Amino acid sequence: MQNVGKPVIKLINVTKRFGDNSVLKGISLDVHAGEVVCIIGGSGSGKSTLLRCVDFLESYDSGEVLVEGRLIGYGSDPAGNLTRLPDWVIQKDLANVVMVFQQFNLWPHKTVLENVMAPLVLVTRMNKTEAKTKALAVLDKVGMAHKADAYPNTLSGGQQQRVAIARALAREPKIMLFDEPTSALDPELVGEVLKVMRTLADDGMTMVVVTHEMGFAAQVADKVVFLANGMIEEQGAPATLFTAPQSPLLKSFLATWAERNVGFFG
Amino acid sequence: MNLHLYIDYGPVLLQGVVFTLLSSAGALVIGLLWGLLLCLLGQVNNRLLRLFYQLYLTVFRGTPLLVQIYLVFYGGPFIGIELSALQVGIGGLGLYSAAYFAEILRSGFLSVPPGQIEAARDLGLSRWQVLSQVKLPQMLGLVLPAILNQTILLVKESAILSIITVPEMMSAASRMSSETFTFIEPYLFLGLTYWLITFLLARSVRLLEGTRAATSLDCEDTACKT
Repeated sequence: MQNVGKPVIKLINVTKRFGDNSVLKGISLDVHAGEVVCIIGGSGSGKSTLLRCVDFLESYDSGEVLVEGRLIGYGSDPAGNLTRLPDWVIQKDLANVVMVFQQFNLWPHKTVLENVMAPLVLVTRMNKTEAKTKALAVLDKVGMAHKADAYPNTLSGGQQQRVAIARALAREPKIMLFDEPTSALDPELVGEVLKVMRTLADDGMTMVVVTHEMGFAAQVADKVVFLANGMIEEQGAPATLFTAPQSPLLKSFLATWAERNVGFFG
Repeated sequence: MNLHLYIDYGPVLLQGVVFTLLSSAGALVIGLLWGLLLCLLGQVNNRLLRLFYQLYLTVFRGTPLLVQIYLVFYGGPFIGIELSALQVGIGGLGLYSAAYFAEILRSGFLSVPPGQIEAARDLGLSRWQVLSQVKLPQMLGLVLPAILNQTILLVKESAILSIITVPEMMSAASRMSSETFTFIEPYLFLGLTYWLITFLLARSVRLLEGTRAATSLDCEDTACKT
C-alpha cells in the first residue's frame, strides 16, 4: 500500500474524557484511501471511543479529527471561537463515512429490504424503484438477497450483521468504520461476516476496524494499531507487529491471546 | 322498570351520548397531540423546556380535573376568559389528559434502543425522520395498551363535564332521574352505555394490535440474540 496523497482520516492529538476518566490521551493517526486499519487492544483501552470520535457519535474534547480534510464536529464562529456545529452539518461532513455496529442496530419493524432502502429514499432522495434495485444489489453482494422480505429478528446474528453491512454499503461510503462487528456473534457465525469484510477490503474500501479477530487483522490489515490506556502503544504492519512486538504491553496482550488459543489448537 | 321512559327521554339521552362522544373525541385528539408535543419538548436539551414539562405535569396531574374545570369555567370570566361550557370541557379534559399521554409516550420513547437511533443518525436520517421512521412506529405498538387505558379513563372522566352544564350522558341521565323520580332506568342506561363505549374502544384497539402482531414487529428476547 502506497500512502500517496493526503490521508482521508487524520487524527491529531485527540483527547476524550468521561468525567474523571481520561479515555483518549492524545491520539494521532493517519488513514489513507484504500487502507485497512485494524485497532486492537484490551477492553477499556479506548478503541471503540476512538472509532466513535471519527464518526462524531462521540464528541472529542481537544485535538482535531479531519475526515477528507474537513474538521469534524467543530467550526469557527464569527468571533473566531471554536463552536460545535449543528448536527445536520456534521452529518453532511460525514456523508461518506458509515459505521457498522457490534449490535447491528437494524430497525426491527422494517424488513431487510426496507432497512437497506430507507436511507436511500430518505437521505439520498432516490425514488423507490431505483432504491429497491440498489438495495437488492448490495444485499446480493453480502449474500442476503434471498432474505429481502424477512424481518431482522428472524435472522441469525451473522445474517443480521451482513444486512447491516449492506445497509451501510448502499449509501456508497468511501470510508467504513467497524466497531467490533463480530463480537456479538456466536463463534460459528463470525466467519461469514469476516468474509464479507474481506471482500470489501479487496474492493479497495477504506476501513477502520476495531476487532478482537487477530487472524483477520493479520491477514487483511495494512496497518494494525495497538491501543492501551487511551494511547497508541504501538503500530505497524501486521507482519512485524504480531511477530516482533516491541512494547511490553503488546507482548503481554498477544501472549494472553495466544495462551487462550493454544489449548484449543493443542 | 318502566321501559316507556326510554322512549320519552330517547332524544335527551341520544343527545347525551352524542355530546359524550364529541367531548371525549375532541379531548382525545387534543390530549394526544398536545401530549406528544409536550413529551418532545420535555426531551429537548434545554433546562427551561424541561422545567416547563415538569411544571405542567405537577399542575395537571397534581390537581383534580374538577378543580381545573371549575377554575376556568367559573373563575375564568373574572379574569376575562369567557368560554362556552363545551369549550372548557373539551379543552380542560384534553389538557388534563395530555399530561398522562405525555408520560406514556415518554416511556415509549425510552423503549427504543439508543443504538437504532444512533445507526439512523449515522446513515444520515434527520431528527424528524428518526422520529417518524424509527421511534414512533416501534413505540406505538408498545404504548397502545397504556394509551387505551388512559382513553377509557378519559371517556369516563367526561361525566364531570355535566357539572359545568355540558348536556352529555351524565347530565341527560340526571335530568331524566330528577324529572321522573326514577333511578334505576336512567343510571342503568348510563352505566351500560359507558360500558358499551369503552368495550367497543377496547375491541377496536385489540383488532389494531392483532394486525400489528401479525406483521411480527416485536423483538422477542431470544430472537434478538445472535
